[in-house]
Order: sequence, then structure tokens, then C-alpha cells
Amino acid sequence: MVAVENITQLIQEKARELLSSGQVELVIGYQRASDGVTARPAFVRKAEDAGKLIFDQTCTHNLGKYAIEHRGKSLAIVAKACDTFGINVLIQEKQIVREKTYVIGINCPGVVESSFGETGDRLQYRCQICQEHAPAVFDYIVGDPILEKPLDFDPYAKVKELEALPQEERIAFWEKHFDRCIRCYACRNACPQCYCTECVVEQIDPNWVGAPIQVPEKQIFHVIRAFHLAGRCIGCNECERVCPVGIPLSLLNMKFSLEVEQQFGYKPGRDPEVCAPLATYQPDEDLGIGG
Amino acid sequence: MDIITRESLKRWLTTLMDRYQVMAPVLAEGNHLFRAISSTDEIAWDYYNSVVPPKELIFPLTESLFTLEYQNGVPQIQEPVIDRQTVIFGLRPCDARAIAMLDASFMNDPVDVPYARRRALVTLVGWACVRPESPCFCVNIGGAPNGTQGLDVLMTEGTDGYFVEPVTEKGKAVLEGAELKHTDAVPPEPAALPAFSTEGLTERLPEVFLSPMWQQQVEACISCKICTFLCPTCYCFDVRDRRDGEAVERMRCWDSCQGAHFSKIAGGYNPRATKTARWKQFFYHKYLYYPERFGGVIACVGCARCVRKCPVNIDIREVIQDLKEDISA
Repeated sequence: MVAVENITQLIQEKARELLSSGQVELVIGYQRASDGVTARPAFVRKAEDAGKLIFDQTCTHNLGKYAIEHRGKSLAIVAKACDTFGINVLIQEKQIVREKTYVIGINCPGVVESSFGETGDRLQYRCQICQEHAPAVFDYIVGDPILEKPLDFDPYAKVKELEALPQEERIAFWEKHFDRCIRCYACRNACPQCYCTECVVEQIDPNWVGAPIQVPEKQIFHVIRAFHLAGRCIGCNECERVCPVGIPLSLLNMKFSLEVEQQFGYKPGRDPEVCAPLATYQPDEDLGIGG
Repeated sequence: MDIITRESLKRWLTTLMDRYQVMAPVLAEGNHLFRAISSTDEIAWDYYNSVVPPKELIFPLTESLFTLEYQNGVPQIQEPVIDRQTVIFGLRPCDARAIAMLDASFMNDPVDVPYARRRALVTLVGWACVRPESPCFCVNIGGAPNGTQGLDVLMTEGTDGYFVEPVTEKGKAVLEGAELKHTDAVPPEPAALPAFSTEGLTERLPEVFLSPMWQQQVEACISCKICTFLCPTCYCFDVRDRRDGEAVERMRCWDSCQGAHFSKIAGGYNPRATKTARWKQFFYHKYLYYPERFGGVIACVGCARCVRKCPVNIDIREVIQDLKEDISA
């Protein structure tokens, strides 16, 4: 793994400074997990606790999720490059206030595949295809800038392979995977861009989607989520990482991202001032529908 | 003790398939899960444990309780037929022990009819864990990697095949026709697991209900349902009706106290509105409420699925440890 000790030290020092000066009341970062090798989210409120903060290539969580939970507070958040795209989306969608969110951005070397007690050198696929290692929004930046290298393979190869199959085979592919889904909603709940206070699939009145944990309901859930994330998903792929039964959700999200990029030349979260094509409405806009 | 070779074991299982539905651990797209098999080649002989516990075979994620249909204007109720004799092969002793705990709850008066029907048809043939690994902690919570509670037969892999130990009459019956050979050898002892104590925890839980420790432990929780759905002793469900034209089907589906809306009541009040309150319910149900009702038995078997799969590493072993410190402080 890439040496990142100095990043840990810089994060700790910054957290100490922000907390002791009273600039923020909470620092959201990472600490060592109970297995001794991976990382988990950390919430630091006192300068003397800043020593538990770490950063290394097992820090996979997208902590933007907690920025929403603690909205209204002055907080600092440790954010890898892609996590900062998510923060920009949240600012753009008015879920968090930029001025109250101190972003400790990381020039990110990528995170590795890991599970409880196990980690290695292999970068997660989302990091293998990453070409934007620098944070898009930050108040403080740590880590050496990373030289962007063009990919020598098509990052969308798997999506295109699946897309090339006849419809029946694509349906069979997803049915096979959704068969394992247990509707635990870990994918949705790990996603910083999924913040509805009542999710459409859990609404009872009207009851759009029934409670059965069966393929039709599961399929509807995943497809609705993919549509809701179109043009908003920043590709952190936490949904796929947290899935207990290994459903390849990135294929759905990448397909939608590819469409939005091709149709609108838009990638979410790079600049909060740029209009989000599927989440913006202007009163005088001609939508080409209705009278 | 008796022993059976791997080849004889396969032959025995194949014969069983004529009379029973055989469920066993298989590898489904990289995930070990219990599924109905039609050939012993499908069995994941090298599995550690299944992602989803085998409770799903007796208490399915979704099941129909009855269907109501009108025939000539008269409502008719149809109950689903549950009559399939089933062998669950290869489950781990922790999961069998968990099924014994589900039995105590579902078969207690009033008996849960669909559960009891399915349960009566099931024979549990377990596999001992010869090489259990941390974070598993069955030994610290009343179980053992080679425990027999809840099982009808226990098998332990040895160098020359599987040691076979019938536990119940049902177990003896299912073994009829198996090519067993007597051996003087003894099954291998399971590897040791790190020890910690849960003694006195249940008794002292009422006094730490309001401890600020809970909020700190649960701060990273994202309120997903992994810990409860993958827990072999969790059994909450929701009952809903599904309408199809004039017909109505009453279904029961797994539900979880970790869901934000689980405890919400008419009028919109939610007595467990915070994730701390919800996670505490998960813990207290296992370590206090269940023991209070069922003879002091803690409804956690130490399978550690919740530890392994929690997206944010809320580790129940750490909670137990911190509680002990909190209690003694």
C-alpha cells in the first residue's frame, strides 16, 4: 500500500486545531476498526481525542452520509477526492451548508478491497478506473498530488458487455443477482445521495411497493434507486461494497452515469454551480411536454 | 463412534433426495448460501459459514399465510400446503443452536402454525467447525464449534471421512441406509477461539440502559438491516395483505428493529426514533429480554455475522467489553 503516514498526522493536527479553536464542534473522519487492519468512521468532539484519527487505503467509507445527519452543526469532514464530489452534490441540492462544512480533502491514492480482518494491495475497481484523484472542494488539502494517467482499458467494458446481451439474458442476469437480495437497504443507507426521510419503497400510504422480499419488489427497489441516482451518483460504490450478498450494483449505476455523461456532458459534483441536468428546473424552461 | 467416507456420504445424500428436499450450502456467485440441491456436486464442501443463516429455510424471508378468494360470492380461505420433508445438511452448530432458540419463541403457546409445520418436517444434519476463527465467539456464549444442541445429527470432518453422531431419534431415522463404519478414532478437537466472558451481563443490563456509551458505540450506524437479517436468532416480521383483483393474500415478511420506521405507530409517533434506541433494542432483545422470557438463555450464538458484515464495524464483542467496563466503573 502507498505510504500515507503523513496524511494521518496532518489530519490529526488539523482536527486538533479546529476543535480547540472552536471553529468546528465535530470532526468526522476515520479510525482503526476492531479487526486491527481496516478502518471505520470516527466522530471526534474533543481536541485530545484527535489522535485516534487515521488515514490509509482501507478508509473506504463515504462519510458524506454523516454530514447530512449532522446538518446545521459546524463540522469538519475528511473526504477523499470522490467523496468531495458527493459533498458538492449535497451542497448543490441544499442538503448541507458549505460555510458550516470544513472539508479536509485528500489527494487520494485510491482505496483497496477489504473485508472484516482482511485487506491487501488490490485497488477497488472504482479506484482502478479513477482519473480524478484530487478533491473538487476543500478548505485544507493533504497528500501529494497524484499524476493522472490515461487508462489503457475501457472502464465501461463490463457495462457494455452486459448491454450487448439480448434482453432476456439481461433480465435473467439481474434476476439471478436480485434473487439473493434480502432488502436490508444497506446499499441505500450507505449512499450519501440517498437521503429521503421516507423512501418510496417503504411508504405505506400510498403503498407503491409491497413488503415481500421477493424478486419483483427487489427489482423495483433497485431500479427506482438507480433512476433516482442518475446524474447524481458520484461512483463511490459504497452500495456495492456494503451489499452482504455481492450484488454488482456498480453496473447499474455506471450505466446511468455513462448515459448522463453522453447525453449532457455532465459529471455530478465537480462544480456545485453547474446546473444538474436531471435535478434542476427553471420556471421558464420549455420542457416540450404538456400544453 | 461411526464414520462415513465422503463418497458414501454423497451416496447417502443422493438416496435421501428421493424422499426429502435436501438443502445445503452452495456457492452462489461468490456467496455461500443454503439452497435446495439436486446433486451433491453443488455442495460447497469447503464453506466456512453461509452469509444468510439457515433460519431462512424454516422462517422464510416471505411466506404466504393464506389467500382469500370469492367463489360465487362466498369468501374462501386457502392455506398454503407445507408438506415437504426436508433435510438441512451442513449447517453449523451455532446456527442449529439458534434454531433451538427460534423454536422456544415460535413454538411457545400460542404456537406459530406455519413455523411449527415447517419445523416438524425438517431434519438438521450439522457440520462441526474444526477450524473456527475469530471474530466467531460461540464458546464465550454457551455454544461450541462441535455443539449438538438443536441438531439431529452432528458430523465432524476427519482425515478418513466424517465422524457421525446421531443426536435425536429423527437423526437415527434419517441415517438409515447410510454406509456407516465403526471406528475407535475420535473426532478432531476444534481450534481454540479467543476467550472473553459474558457472565453477569444480563443481570446488570437494566442499570446501564441510560448509559451514554450506547450513543458512542452506535454513532456510525447507518440503520441498515444487515445485523438483524443475518442474525440467526432475529425473528421479527411484518404482516401485510396483497390484493390481486378480488383476491387477497396475507403475507408475512422479515422485518427489522433497525429500520427507522419499524416502531412508528398510528399518528406518526416513533418511540425508537434514534438509531441508538434502535440498536439498543437489537442488543437488549438478545441479552436481556429473551433471557428473561426463556430461562436465562442469551439469544446470541456468537456466529459473528453481524461483526463480519456490518458496513461500519459496530462490533458486538466490543460493546460487550465496553459494557463490562461501564458496569464495573
